[in-house]
Amino acid sequence: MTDSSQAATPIQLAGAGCFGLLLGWYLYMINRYRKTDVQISDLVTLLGVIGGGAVLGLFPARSDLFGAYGIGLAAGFFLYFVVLIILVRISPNFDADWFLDGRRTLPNGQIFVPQVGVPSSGGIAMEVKPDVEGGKH
Amino acid sequence: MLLRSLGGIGLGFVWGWLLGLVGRGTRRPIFTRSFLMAAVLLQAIVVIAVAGWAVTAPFALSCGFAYVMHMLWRRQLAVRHQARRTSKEDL
Repeated sequence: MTDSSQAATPIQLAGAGCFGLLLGWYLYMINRYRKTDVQISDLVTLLGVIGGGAVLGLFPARSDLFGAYGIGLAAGFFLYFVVLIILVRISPNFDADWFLDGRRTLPNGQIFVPQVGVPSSGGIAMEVKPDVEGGKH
Repeated sequence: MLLRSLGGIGLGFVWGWLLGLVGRGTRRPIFTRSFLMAAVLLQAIVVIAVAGWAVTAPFALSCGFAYVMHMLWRRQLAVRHQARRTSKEDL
């Protein structure tokens, strides 16, 4: 198979990579602050953003710029994810369950679960067992 | 060629991970699966248009890999959550 890729200068490759990095980072951030479950329309929009007209317009077909963009996209996306894991791990108010349903400990000690519903004020109070470590009640 | 393949793999990882978010708790799994297939196909068409046919295989493989990894990760989280909850209730 012949390689018909177009040569790109290092600065072009770096630019495409940084563009992807930024887009990947924002992609995870936007996904993180999503209010509802992922809908079909969301993915169609994402398709348009990460692999649509902009990419086709910016990068000539079969050029190495697409490669740099793709690498940057994955790097930004998963870098955000790794940073998130580290922050959740070191924070006393979050644990791994946050990735499942977004639950976190409020400053007053109550556990707030966003997916249960929007509370009228200050979150949904869950009864805290006073002596969880003290054996059966 | 190598750079384009790596780009396809990167795009596949991101797309596969995002697809793992679709259809959680859905009551229409057939619809979800059809949609996932269509979504991968659409993205593959874009990859072919930008990077050529040769990148399709790395893209598809990495997409599937990321999807499976996301599913396994979520399942693992759910299992650990359930185990913690059960152990708290047993106390």
